[in-house]
Amino acid sequence: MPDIELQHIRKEFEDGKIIALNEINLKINNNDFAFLLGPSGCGKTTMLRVISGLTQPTVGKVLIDGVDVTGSPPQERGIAFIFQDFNIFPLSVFENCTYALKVQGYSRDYIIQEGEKALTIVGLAHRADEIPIGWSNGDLQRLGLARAICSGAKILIMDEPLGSLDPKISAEFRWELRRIIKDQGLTAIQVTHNQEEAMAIGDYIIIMREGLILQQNTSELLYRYPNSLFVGNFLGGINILEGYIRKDYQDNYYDVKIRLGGPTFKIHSTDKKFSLDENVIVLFRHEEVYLFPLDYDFENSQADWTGIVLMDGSISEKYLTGKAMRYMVELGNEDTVSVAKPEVFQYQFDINEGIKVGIFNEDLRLFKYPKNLAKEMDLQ
Amino acid sequence: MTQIKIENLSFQRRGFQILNNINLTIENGEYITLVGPTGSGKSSLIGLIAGLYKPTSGKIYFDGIDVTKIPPEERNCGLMFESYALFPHLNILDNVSYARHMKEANHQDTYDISREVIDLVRLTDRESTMPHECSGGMQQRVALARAIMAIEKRGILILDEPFKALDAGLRLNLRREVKNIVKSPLLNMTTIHVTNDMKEAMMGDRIIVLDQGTIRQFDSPDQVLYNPKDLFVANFFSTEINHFSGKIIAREPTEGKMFREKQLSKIIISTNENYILYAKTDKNFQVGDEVTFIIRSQYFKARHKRRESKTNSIYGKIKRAKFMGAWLRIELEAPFKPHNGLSEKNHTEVHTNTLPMKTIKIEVPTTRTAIHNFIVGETITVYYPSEFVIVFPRIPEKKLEQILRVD
Repeated sequence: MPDIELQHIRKEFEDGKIIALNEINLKINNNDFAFLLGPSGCGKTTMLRVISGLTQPTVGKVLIDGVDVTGSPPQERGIAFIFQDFNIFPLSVFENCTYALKVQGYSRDYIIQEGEKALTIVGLAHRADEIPIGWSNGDLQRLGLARAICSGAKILIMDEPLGSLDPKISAEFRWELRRIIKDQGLTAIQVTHNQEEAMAIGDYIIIMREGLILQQNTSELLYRYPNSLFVGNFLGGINILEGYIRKDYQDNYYDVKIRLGGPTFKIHSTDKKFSLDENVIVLFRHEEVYLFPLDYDFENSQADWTGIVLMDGSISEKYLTGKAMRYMVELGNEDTVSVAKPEVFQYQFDINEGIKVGIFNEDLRLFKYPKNLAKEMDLQ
Repeated sequence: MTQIKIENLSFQRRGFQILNNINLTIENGEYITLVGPTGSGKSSLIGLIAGLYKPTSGKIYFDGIDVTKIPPEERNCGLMFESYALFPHLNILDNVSYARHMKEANHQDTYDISREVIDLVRLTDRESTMPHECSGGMQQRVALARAIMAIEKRGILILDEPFKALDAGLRLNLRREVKNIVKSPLLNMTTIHVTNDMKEAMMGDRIIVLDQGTIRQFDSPDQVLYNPKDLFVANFFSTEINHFSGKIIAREPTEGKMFREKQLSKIIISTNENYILYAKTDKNFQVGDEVTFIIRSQYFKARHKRRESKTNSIYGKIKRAKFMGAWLRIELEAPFKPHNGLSEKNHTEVHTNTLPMKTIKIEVPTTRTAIHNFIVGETITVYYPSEFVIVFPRIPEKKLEQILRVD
């Protein structure tokens, strides 16, 4: 029943010239399935290596089950790895699966018992005698998982394990992976660049950037309430508008006037305080923008539009993304917003068509104007 | 700017038939996306175009000239792979101009052209930056510029899963940028972009769908999406699909109204489970025909209230709801019965005591309403517009499973 804790972890390379991890504090509870996301070079892989013992931290402690394991080698930590390029030996499936046990000198009976158990869990028991050459990547992943289970490790560390799979295959496999992790009482940490995968199967997501943990929460809370523009932008399509505080209602509500003659929004902010005239950024997502034809009858509509702020707009671009219609809408004040609508949306708009654009005050998130907006929005 | 024509192209490797009698024409300046599952022959097809492999039979023409026997270095193709390797010891400008320097004596000219291309990929003022100082997205742009520079005036750009290793947000921005760059009047290159990502595929002027070495469909994104030639294509361009098999019990004459420039006629289908569902199609089905039809998960509208009066509405209990960012993925357990819209008294015989349950997979945008109301255990009504149903002649159950099976 392992939980993992990192205390004040710092990792420097090249005599402190490169700081890969900077004061990382993290706790992953027993049987959690955590996802680690962040742009390349953010420290994800270094963090996995520190947890597993492949890399020693410059400062800080690694605790597994409350026991300080900093300094102890990987094999003593009860950790198994699954990587994108699985090392499959030219042996039978059974031998591949039980290789670690054999090397460790376990009895033949024990090896057979554990090997059969692990292969049954991943659904490969009937193929135990095959040589897995030419197998599909999906099946190889299964074998990798069986090998990890068979090793007796209770912590599973996965670096892009589904990276080489077709989207359809990995969608199917990921549910099974989650089920097996939960059923077998494993604690798992996975690095991926596929946000959708992380949202689909992770218990929570940890977002890293430049050696720091920016935010850690369930996918829904992260997506809806990012604590920074970067996290908001990293997890999916956003729009931002620049404005300033025009009125402070003293109850965490602010009137925000959008620049260049844009509308005024009344926005709630629990975690940040703003002062009058302060420059701010207003964030909302592509799917949170409502579009109406000019003659839409709001008064006699069945839907409740209370709290929506309406603006004039015109469609400047539209294209299919396969699942939705993406509209680029120019607002009266020279801002452009990106809007995603399902194809079954009741209205279809043409390019240059004038429309009404609506956003609910409640859907808006308010942020301090960053020192360097371009850098804050840079996903690279 | 080159027209590519491929005639009866077949390719075998280690005794396996990789490509089977491929025929296609890609026009000057077209941006083509090439999709297909692993092992479908995508990489072989671009390898044959670039001249990296020799075909077993068939011919390839660039602008009407037979290039089948011409070596790769003389074919004027620029390639960019997922695992592009920039020269670590050269700065951006030298990386980009490297290939051209090898061919051209006039280095000053080469630098001038390279700078123009560097401008295009929005790396102006960064030309002396070294690769290790570049972020992932910047490196991607450098690799693109380098691939472009490898091509002389009339040439072909081949992008092999260029964004596979990038995070979703970055991919979103880059893929439109790349198309704009290669379509700019200065370049206007014929481009083949291999991808596994549906959204990326949709940005092609036309899409080639490859499966088991044959072209399943080569069409505009609209056609591939709305008029898939077969279930394979339909499934490939879906996240999740719902499929039903049944029989057409009524057909109404063509409506005057056009939908996506097509005349549709309404058909009423009684499914194997005795559900009555409507579809609109431009295909010529008759009463009595056995059909299989699909509804993609994103083609449902969902209402919190129970409202059965509408045709094509299904109500059921939410069995699973998964937050996926912009979309909420819902599995609905629906007890089916014949619906109104079609007068029920004519179809009382299909009422049974035990209503069959069917799982319907739907996806709706994560608006506030959706998040607050569409939770596990709630009963909701979903509805699909009949125009969005895709109808095929009956596909036998075994074949259906085989196509929809994920390996």
